[in-house]
Amino acid sequence: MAELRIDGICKNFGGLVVASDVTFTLSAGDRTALIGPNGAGKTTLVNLITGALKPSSGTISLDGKPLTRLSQPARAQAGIARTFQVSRLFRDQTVGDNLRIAIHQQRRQSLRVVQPRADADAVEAQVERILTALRLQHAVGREVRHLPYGEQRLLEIALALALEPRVLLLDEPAAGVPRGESEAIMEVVAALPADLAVLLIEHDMDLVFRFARKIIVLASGAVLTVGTPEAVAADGRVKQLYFGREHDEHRHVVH
Amino acid sequence: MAEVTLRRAAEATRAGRRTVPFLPEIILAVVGVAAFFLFPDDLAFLAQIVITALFVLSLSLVLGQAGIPTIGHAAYMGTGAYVAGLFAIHFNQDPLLGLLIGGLAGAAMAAITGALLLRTQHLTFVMLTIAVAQILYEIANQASGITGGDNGLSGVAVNPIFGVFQFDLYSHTAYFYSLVVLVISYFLIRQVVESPFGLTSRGIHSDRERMLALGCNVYRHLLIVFTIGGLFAGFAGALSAQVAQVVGLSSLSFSTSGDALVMLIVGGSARLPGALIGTVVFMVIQHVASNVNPYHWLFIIGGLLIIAVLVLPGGLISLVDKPAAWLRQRRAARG
Repeated sequence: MAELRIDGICKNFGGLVVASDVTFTLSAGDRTALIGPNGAGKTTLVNLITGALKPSSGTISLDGKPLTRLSQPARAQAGIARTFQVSRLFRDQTVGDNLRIAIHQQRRQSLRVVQPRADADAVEAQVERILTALRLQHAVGREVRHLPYGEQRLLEIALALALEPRVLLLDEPAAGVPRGESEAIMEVVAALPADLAVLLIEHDMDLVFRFARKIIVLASGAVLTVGTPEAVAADGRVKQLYFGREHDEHRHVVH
Repeated sequence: MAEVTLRRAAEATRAGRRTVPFLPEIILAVVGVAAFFLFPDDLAFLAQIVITALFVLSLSLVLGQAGIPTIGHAAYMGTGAYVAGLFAIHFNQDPLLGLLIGGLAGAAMAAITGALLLRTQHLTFVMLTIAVAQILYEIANQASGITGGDNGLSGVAVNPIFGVFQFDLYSHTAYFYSLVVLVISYFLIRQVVESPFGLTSRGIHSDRERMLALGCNVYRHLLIVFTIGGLFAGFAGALSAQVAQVVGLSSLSFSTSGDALVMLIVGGSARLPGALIGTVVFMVIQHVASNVNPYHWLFIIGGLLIIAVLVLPGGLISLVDKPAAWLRQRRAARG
């Protein structure tokens, strides 16, 4: 049973505090959403968990094993996968090659200059399995830069899944996708393996409430509250946080 | 149903790509042999083209595939040339052993310097590659007791290959020796490019951050690419030492690195044949134009580079690739 434990994580850039004493755990099978206004530090938290950023203080562990000192690739190998808010795909490569790159990493075959036939076939079978699950089979030979954005977002998830992770951090998987297409993405998210621990960052509250069994609300780098969707929806501070924000944005539009 | 179609499509591409094994190497060998018969009086020059092509090919792996932006790649060719030259003068005149030693020297130098260089990125990295090549150049220049300094390392003589093929005045042996080494090297580098290792290299070239997030040890991977690049650059250097029987400081010079870069970009860096095409075009123009006008031939090279970058960003190889892609599409549309 995977358990990701975030304990008292702080991060500041000089005087700017972007994460302040963040503590929570994510267990196998969890469906947790991380919400908060722009600049609350959601993506920063993902970067801290994956090792793209080093925390100023605090610890991160997976199944009791400390990750804090491990490099980013070592954490990915330990089973933590992420997607990116703005797609980071291998744009000049085909969809199939994008997946092969990830699968070679997962199988520790990326240093091979000679690939035995049996292993190559196993990789192809895996490519097929993932693309079929995401209904992207038709695009296997297409270069990613020619792919519609909605399908690029699906591939973004596919690359993370190819690592066969135990913890999956989804950073706004439906960002920039029109409503009609975001449905397909949320279907994929809903069909993720049951024993996978999933943390979803999302702005669309409909999607959040459909997905999450637990919601963490982040404001100015600190955890404001944690609870069930119902409890969070009823929480006055959360309403204020979002209401105040929306009010501000509305004013900007008027001016 | 969909799965079956997909598998069939995958098999078709695989089969289509590999109907003739060793096809690129066969074409290369045929062109090489044809050149031997077409230009029997220019074999020394042809051998020079072949050796330079091997050097540019090694750069194609490092820069074109893995995206390592070096402009000091001559460091590893020069190392291979000097080590192979000194080895022949002081230890053993066997050409194949010398070739191997030269290649290993290039690889070792690339591994040692790369271990330091590859900790940096972008402009810092570029500058450091120049610095490393310049330092080696100065060492070779100052240590004239060993390297001959400015006069070059002369008197490099090697035995006949397999004890049979004597290096002759007409460069027959030199040319075929270089060509065989190029063809074998091309095959080996192509294996690397088409393997999971090569695909991973292109992934790093495309998005380093994403590779880190996928669990790739980017530094280690690039160091291995750099070392393999040094190996083949070292082979090229050893060949030039054995064929020319002299090693000049220019084998370590900045302009050698720069010319190779121009050849690679003119020919196309994304695919291996581009390195060969670029080398041939560059060197033939250099040869012909510098005979016509020894002062202004660089204008032609400069113009060619501008055209390659502006009109054919993929290099001359895209003149072949684009019609091929169009034909494939048409055939696919017809079913």
